[in-house]
Amino acid sequence: MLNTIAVLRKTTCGLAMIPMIFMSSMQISATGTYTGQSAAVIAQNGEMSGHDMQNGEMSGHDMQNGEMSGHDMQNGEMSGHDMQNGEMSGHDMQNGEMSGHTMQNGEMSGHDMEEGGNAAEQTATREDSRVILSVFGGLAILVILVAGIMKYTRISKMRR
Amino acid sequence: MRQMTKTNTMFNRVFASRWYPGIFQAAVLAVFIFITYELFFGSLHAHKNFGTALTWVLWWPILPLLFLFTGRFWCAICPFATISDGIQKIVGNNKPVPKFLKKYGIWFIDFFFIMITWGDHVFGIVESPVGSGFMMVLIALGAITAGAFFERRTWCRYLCFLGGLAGNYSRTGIVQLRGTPEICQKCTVSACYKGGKKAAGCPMFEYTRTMDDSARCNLCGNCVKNCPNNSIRVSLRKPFKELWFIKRPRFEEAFLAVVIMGIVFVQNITMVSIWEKAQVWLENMLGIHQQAAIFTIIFLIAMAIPVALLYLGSWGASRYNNESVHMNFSRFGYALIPLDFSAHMAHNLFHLLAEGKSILNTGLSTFGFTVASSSASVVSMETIHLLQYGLLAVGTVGSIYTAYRIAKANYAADHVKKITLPIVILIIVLIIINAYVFTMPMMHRM
Repeated sequence: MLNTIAVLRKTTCGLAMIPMIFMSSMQISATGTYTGQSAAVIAQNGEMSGHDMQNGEMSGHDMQNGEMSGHDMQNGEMSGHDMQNGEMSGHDMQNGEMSGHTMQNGEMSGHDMEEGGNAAEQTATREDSRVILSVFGGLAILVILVAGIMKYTRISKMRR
Repeated sequence: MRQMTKTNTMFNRVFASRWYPGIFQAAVLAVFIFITYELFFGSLHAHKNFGTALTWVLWWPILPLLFLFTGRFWCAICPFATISDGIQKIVGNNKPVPKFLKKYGIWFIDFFFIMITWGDHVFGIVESPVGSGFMMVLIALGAITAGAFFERRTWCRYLCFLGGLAGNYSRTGIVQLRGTPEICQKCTVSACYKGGKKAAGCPMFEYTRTMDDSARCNLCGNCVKNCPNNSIRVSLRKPFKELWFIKRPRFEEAFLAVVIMGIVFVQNITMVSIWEKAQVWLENMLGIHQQAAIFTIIFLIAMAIPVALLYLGSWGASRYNNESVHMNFSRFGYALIPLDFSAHMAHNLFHLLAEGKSILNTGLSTFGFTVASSSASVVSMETIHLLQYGLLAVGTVGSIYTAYRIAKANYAADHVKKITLPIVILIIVLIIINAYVFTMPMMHRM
């Protein structure tokens, strides 16, 4: 009986976790979805081009709530209030200089900030991935088991 | 004529082969498993994840093209359906499809399609590899459940959100599978539907002998294998032609056609610079500072505009043909499908051509090769724009001609032009909106 309750409790928790996991894993990218656009639009309008800002300079309030990705800002300089609430990933800012209030409330990942957020983020996301796959895998097995029981008990009834 | 017969024979030989479509299914399933693994355990960043590149830069953008050139062949080899088929063989209960699903299935498809697009923007599915993976396993679970309990491909026919899109676009397609009426009239076996020794019956619940559209046929070849009279023919046809002679127009399908126009509009508008400004303006005006809520409002408006415009056009047409506005909506909704297709494909061309190299770059880096930093564009933006406008022009001509042919097929000759005019105005309004959005620079996803 206790075992049954424990299984039920775990299943319920697992099911309840689906939207939570989804929401949490989406959090960063959801910010990126909306906020990344301004950066990209700037890029397309000629102020940032190709692999943005190689050997260049960003100043003022560029990239607020934005996202920089890939090899952006190699050998470059960012100053002022760049990248507030933003996200930098990959090899951003290699050999570069960041000054002022750069990256307030932001996140840097990849080769920047080797000690810090990236490892934690990666571990958390991998854990999310495992939980999602376990929950969905579990549900799929449950569906197959129920269907199998329904099918084969029906067959046995037909034989009788 | 001889050429046509040769083509038929070639297609029929392929379809009759016992290796078809299994060999394609196996290959696609292997790629799907690899993609799912990459999405969950590859790079955390979408622009570096090979799974994301294969899904959103390659597969999703070329899907409409596949429907145009190969009908719903994708549905025959779709990995979700392959998994569902496998489960069905082992534990399938083969229960009949519930009545409510038969009646309202297409509304579920409409709803899921809208919700997936909405969810993508609110949760950032495309931008998150794990999000994309989540979507994959969610769809897989749906397909497994349908396959385990219900008969044939219930999921594909009544629930899959891609099925609705596939159905509409396949009508414009250049491939068709049909029975030969003279032979089928004398048939007493109906092996195409019921199945035979060589293969199961039609997985899409179609009677090939009476089938007169390509919306649901997935070219799986089961009917070709089963037919004892060699009646089934696969042949090529003019694009869009099927839309001219829809015998039983359905409101739900017309609604999906017009909603797709709204979805393409949303997809485009969220990638251009005025989107940010529009969001800020709406935020200030409504005093709501939640992006999800603001997006939902804009999304609903974008969905409602084409629907309202088609209603207006249908009302205009109804004044000359004495049919209800509802009937005109159902009938002329199909005329928007060529425009849907071209606008959708024009949008997808951006991903395919402006981000195409990311497939190679992410692929190489996944397998340990160092990739030099370079642009993801395959061709210049000027070339992409040229192709986009070319596609829009083809879609506009296709839609206007389709509206004309629908009117010609259903109403008296002296009223055809008057009936078509309101629909033509609607098509022109929609194309102006689309063309304007395409003039703006779009952001890269990869």
